[in-house]
Amino acid sequence: MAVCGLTLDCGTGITQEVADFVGVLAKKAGLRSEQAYWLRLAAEEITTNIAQHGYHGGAGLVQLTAGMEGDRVWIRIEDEAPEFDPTKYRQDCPRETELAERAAGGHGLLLAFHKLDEFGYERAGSRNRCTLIMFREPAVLAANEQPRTKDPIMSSTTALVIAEPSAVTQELGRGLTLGGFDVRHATPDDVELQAEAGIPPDMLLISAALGIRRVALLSRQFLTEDRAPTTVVFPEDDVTELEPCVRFGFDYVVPPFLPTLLRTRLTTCWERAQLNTSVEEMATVASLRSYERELSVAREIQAGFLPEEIPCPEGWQIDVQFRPARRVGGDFYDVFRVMDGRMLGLVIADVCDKGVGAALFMALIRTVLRHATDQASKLNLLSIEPLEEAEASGPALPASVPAAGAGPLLAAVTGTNSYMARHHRRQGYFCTLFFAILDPGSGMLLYINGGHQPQALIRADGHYTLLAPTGPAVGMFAHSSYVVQRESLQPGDSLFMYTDGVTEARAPDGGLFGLERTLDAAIRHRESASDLIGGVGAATYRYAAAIDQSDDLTMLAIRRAEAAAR
Amino acid sequence: MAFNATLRVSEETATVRLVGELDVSSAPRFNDLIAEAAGYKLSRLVMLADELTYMSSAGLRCLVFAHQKMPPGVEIMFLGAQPDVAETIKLTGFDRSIVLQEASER
Repeated sequence: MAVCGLTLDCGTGITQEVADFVGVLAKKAGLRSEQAYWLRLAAEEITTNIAQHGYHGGAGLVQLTAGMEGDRVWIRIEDEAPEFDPTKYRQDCPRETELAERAAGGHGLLLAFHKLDEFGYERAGSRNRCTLIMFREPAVLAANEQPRTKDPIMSSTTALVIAEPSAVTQELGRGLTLGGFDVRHATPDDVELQAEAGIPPDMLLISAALGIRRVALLSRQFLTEDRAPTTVVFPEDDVTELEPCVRFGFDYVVPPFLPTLLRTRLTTCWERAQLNTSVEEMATVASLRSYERELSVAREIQAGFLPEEIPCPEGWQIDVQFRPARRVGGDFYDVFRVMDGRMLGLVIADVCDKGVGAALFMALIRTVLRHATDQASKLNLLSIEPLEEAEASGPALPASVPAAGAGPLLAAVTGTNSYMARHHRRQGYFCTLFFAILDPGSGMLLYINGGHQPQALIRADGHYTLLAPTGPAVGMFAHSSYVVQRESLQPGDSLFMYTDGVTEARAPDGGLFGLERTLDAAIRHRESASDLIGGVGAATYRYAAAIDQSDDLTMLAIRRAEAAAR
Repeated sequence: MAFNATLRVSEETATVRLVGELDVSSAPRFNDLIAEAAGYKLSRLVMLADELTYMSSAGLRCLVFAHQKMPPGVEIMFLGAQPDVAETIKLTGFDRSIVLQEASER
């Protein structure tokens, strides 16, 4: 039974890792301190030998696995260095040689073999494999296996069977009793009483028929700070019931419940659980650390690509809110000047995933989008200059006539889309985005909605228009086509841009905030851009009762101020 | 556990106090002190090992190094060795070249 493994690179100092590894094993196995000392020494000598002679002090793999079977505690050490059989270099009579005459070295293996009960070597493929074995003493074995019971292993182990009474449960109970267990029964509903009443059992046998959720919950009932009963599941009518439980990580027993088989099987389960506890603890700590690291990296990337300052043309108000989720997503917003500073680009987007990958994709797409817009507007400036001037002075153009800004907008989105789809399709990322170009002078708004939620244009009088998608999400298909739509913002009108973190904010009961509430809050707070953002933000916050949201919450509002009424 | 070694020289005796675990990663520190001690005119090199909880062959190599560095006639003493450490030294025959004194039973 393998219990734990550790892979090390000899390029770095590894003695501490080896020492810790052996230390945990020795403690779990209940080796005497002297045995622990010499097992550690052996492991250090073997690994040092691999590092110094096998890999000549350079990088190289060393893999440790360890386990226990009955009274044997073993460590397997594997490396990929040239073949070397330590048993051939045993020094039998070291005392015959004077100290000073001997080369400094060559003692390591001697020490390594000294107290090991067994040592084995084999060449396994391209690897050297050394196996170090120590025997546990029976007394130590029993005392260690059963820290709270007085008798040798399993003889008075308590087992609690949790199931609705049935023939199978009875058979299991009989088998356990004959197998030497102290057996109690409980139905799933009176378990709580049992849990509160007395000393927790050593083992829980839970019917898989209760379903994985209940099994998992029940197995937690008896957890105390320093001990967790070993949970083993058993099938009642249908062996397939076991599958989800086994996949979840529970051990199992199956009929027929013969006393000897049960005993052997449960001893193994129990032992494995004891070992796994510490391995799991280590793994949990390690994965939490890496999760936190990922989270902070993603946050940094995300924050680093949001605009530092937001250009706000005269006569307009802009406000944004960005509330990142606990799990970093790929939301971003951007506000930047285009067309030589005469127009304003407004972007809000949502990358379809979360974590570092999404944050990097967000950074990339934002960069490509800005660059494409810049390039396109440079070209556009040359060709459309006269038209723009005509528009500025003359009456509003009909919607069908191409307007300044439409070219760059279309070129930027289609360019970005085909770039992302061609070069990054394999990662499977795409993003929904709403990209608008605003002429602050006329209030003309050109936009493309690439698969994003309908954005809200809120009129001064409280009516609203939804700006629905005009093309698919960006990065999905290389040949997507997008249509530029046109709107106009008059004094008092606002454009409210947001991501699905707003409409999908969840209440504790699971309900979604939804578009209707979003619009309602936005309309009620249309007096200024910051009111609007604050109002919608507060409404979602209240609705979601401040629980952790799974998605980023990103909003941007731009409002055309009323002409100064004096 | 970490390793620490300190050197004190008084008259013709150099005393090295060893604390913690002496393995391949901590051995260089011990070697440095031995080299430093070798700079003095000594008649005795004393290693106080009562707080040395672990020693691998890397530690033994330090002793060989000390033996080579010290001029003939300098007495090398390894005092207060804990049982497993003492056994390591005896196992390899080093106790014939240095004075080894084991910790009394505690």
